[in-house]
Amino acid sequence: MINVSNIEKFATHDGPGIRTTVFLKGCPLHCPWCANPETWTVSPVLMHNSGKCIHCQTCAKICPYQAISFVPSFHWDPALCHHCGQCVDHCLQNALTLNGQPMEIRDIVQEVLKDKDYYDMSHGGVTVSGGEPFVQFEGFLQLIQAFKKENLHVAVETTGSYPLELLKQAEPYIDLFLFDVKHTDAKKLKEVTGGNWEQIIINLSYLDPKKVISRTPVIPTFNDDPETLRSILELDARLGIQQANFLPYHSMGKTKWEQLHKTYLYDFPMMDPAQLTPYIELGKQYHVEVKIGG
Amino acid sequence: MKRIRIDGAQNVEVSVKIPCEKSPLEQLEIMEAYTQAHKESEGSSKAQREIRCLKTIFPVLFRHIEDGDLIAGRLDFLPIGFGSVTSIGGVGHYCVFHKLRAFKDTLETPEQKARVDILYDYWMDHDVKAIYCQDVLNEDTTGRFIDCTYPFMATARLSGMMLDYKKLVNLGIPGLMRLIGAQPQNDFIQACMEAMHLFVQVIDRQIELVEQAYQESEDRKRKEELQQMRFDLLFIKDHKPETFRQALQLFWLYALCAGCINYGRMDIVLGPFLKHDIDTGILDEEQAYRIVKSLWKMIENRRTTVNGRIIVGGQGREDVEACDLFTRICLRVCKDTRYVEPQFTLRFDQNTPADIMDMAYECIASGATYPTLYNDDVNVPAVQYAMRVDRKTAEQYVPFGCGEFVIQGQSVGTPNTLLNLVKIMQLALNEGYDPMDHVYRAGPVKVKPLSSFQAFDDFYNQYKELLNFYFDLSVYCQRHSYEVMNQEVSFLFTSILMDDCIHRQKALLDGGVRILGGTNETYGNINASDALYAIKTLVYDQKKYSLKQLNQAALADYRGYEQLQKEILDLPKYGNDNPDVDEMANDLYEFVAKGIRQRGIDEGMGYYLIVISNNQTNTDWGHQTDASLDGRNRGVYMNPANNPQGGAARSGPTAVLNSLSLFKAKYHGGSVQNIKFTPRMMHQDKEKVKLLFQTYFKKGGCQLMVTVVDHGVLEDAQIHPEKYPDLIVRVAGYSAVFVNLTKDVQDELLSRTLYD
Repeated sequence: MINVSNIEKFATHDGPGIRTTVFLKGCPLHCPWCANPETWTVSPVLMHNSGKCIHCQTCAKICPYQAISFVPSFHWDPALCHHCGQCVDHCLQNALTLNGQPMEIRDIVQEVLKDKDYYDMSHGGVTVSGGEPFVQFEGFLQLIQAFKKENLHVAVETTGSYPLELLKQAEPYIDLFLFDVKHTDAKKLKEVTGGNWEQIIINLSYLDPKKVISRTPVIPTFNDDPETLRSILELDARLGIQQANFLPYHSMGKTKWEQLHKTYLYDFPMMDPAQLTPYIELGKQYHVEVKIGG
Repeated sequence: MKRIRIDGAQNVEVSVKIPCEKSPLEQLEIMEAYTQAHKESEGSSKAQREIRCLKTIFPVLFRHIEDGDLIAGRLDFLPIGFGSVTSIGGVGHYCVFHKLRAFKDTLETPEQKARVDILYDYWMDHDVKAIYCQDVLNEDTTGRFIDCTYPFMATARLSGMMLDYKKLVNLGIPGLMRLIGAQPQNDFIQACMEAMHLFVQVIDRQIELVEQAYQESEDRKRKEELQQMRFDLLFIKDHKPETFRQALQLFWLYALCAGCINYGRMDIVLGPFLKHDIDTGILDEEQAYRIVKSLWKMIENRRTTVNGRIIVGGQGREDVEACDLFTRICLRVCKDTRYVEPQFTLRFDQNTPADIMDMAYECIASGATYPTLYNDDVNVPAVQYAMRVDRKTAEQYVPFGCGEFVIQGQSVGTPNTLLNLVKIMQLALNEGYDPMDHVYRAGPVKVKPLSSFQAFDDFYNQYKELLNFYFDLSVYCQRHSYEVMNQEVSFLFTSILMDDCIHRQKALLDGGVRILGGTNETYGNINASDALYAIKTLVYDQKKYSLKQLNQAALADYRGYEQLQKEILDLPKYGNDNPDVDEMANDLYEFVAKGIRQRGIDEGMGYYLIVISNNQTNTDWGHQTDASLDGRNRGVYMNPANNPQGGAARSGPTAVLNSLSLFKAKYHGGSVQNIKFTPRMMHQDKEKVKLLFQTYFKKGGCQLMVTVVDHGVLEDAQIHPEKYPDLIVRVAGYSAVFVNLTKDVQDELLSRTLYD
């Protein structure tokens, strides 16, 4: 069993061809711009849409574990919650969602295989994302082994924040790494995201660069300055990585933060992708093919 | 005998018609002349009567040439006249009563208005459709089209006739006359010959109109164009056409006279002429483009809403190179014009040149909603089985109107019967009564109380028994529509170009047409199957509720049963690639499709098939349909064609396409599938979307129509319609300018999942 946040079909931004992306729960980082904050915890998380909620308090009344209260506004206590889902089932406004459910490996594989014809036609496959897939390592390893058994092209979107040992075990079952390089300054990375640069760079250096696309979410005030982006391209070049994705900042994850009753601190206007196009040229100097967007 | 009233809307009409060119008084006089001819010819043969009536409207109803027209032929129609289809008038000798009443209001004097009343009264007993309706409509089971209070509607019309225009352009008028003249003479053949003479008069009138336009024009270039048109008209009177312009001109005028509003495989008809002209330097591609554009405008100006099919590409074409040359020009015109008609349709298979597929894709991505895509690798063998014809015949299939198939020049396939599968299920749930109006509508079927359905199959069988009753009724009404139409008219112009009327010396519906088929439009297919799935799951598998409890909730329109409604809505729904629920949809589909098909075979028809198409009847019929056990509320639109109910598809485009490709095409006579994408996805993920479509087609997808529209645009267009005069959307079987649709139809379109 492994805790799954979501399975997205026809994912067009997570690797080559038509793909299905399996989002796993759990992440060691806590990037303040994260588009999938519901994946941070391994255990399921209750999302509450205040726009839809009419404060009927049915959820609080129905919960057998007193995990929900309205004092004075909606409050969910993850420590008390047993993830039974009764609150969700009884919310007539559809204001509640329980994100994350334990799934059998074979059920995930079965779901992913439904689109096999599309992968075959488009040279696509499956991408495991998160969160950080390596957080639920045991299940993750079984999952990618099962995918490989079905001859699927397997991509993994990863932060690289975990011991090299784990990477060594998983690497043979992975065709493509979409490897996050959010910053090259260890201090800043640690400060803002909680990421451990030393670990990340060890892992990134270990991999065959031909199997890696480096991915950088370009975030205003964090890493959108030319020096930082240039340093990322330099790193790619040094390691022999030939493809880089620069992902323009977007705020589409904001509503999820609200539904988790968390404050979204990195609230900027959406970035115009054209702003990043000069880096396509710059990349050429480093023999790195830069793509804007995934 | 009680007289059935058929006054009321008789077809879906979104596009606003161009008003008749004649003054109201002139129109009145023409309708009186028509009526007089009809009256006086009582006792003559139907063929003679038809020709006599036709002479009162042709050529007088032809309009003036408009500036920019490169082919001649604009035709008005009146509330009384002769036709085939309800989109332009009616069938046979017709009177469109509600339009006649509206016309009456345009007249000035009481004396003139009284003259209209006389016409109205006369046609109450003589309108072909009225005669049919007297026979089949009743108070419980069968309503007229469009009266959505019934589970079943029937009508008389001759929709979707696509004639053998290849024969027309290859023989020309002299050749056709020779062919007709060489037949053993009978009343029908004589009338056909007279029809051809009338057709020549129509051409003569066009010559006059062109000359008139020439006199009025001061533009040198325009005068040259008109001179060319005059020359071509004169030429085709006495010769078979030799050039692209001449062939197009001949085809167009003939289609107008025959009352045809779907045109068919124009690449086969016109491609060889085009290639000849380009090869010999008579035309260059830019000139050809302008001429095709003019044809597009002529078709658009007829404003038939759900018709105007021009079909290109696919199997069964002789001179493929010439056909593809025409196809490429059409694709350019289609992308540039952005009209809702013609409904431009591309048939393709694995061998279709990549550049044509790319052009088609670009056209779709630009938001034109065209071409609609038909997959010959699936459809040709499917038609072969469905219609029980050989492969060569099946290769000539063409979709008309909202997507029903016919064989061009060889078959009649008009959809004169329509079923609402949701309403029929509600009869099974309520001992034969329709909960919407408490009318008993189960005919002779004994519907058991809910408590007697111990197992799911007990209930399903009851539903099937009711469906069977309605299938029997359908096939009877379909056949009877042919009998009544045949009793009244010969459809002379249509018959001349349909195999094998001339050789058999018989009118179309008198044993003339080679394949007498027919279609039945089924609605609410997916609401019904999702409801069956909910019943099976909640009542019989999980045993959480009794069937009575579920039904009570639906009868209350889920008021006070909101929790149960949520539970039903949260169950898996068709369109998400869920094997269990899709299998239920397929099971019901096959029962209905095979049931209808078999009845056609048993009744000796060429074919009788269901079509899962859609105009806006899913919305109109939904208004009159009680809450259903898929969680749908009372009065809400039903699902469009075989797409999921709005909002039910939540698993992405691959999942919905997987569900859509499940139904075997060989059991239906046309099924349409819509999908909506944002421009972002169509452009940025272009290659992936192409591969998505390719995979769907490879998996057995028979057809696809794509609307490209951005987030919020449809919503904004509801608020600010003036900003969106040319926002085209695919309703289902037809495209429309969004802001011309009624609010309820707009809402249904909005409810559909948009993929980004």
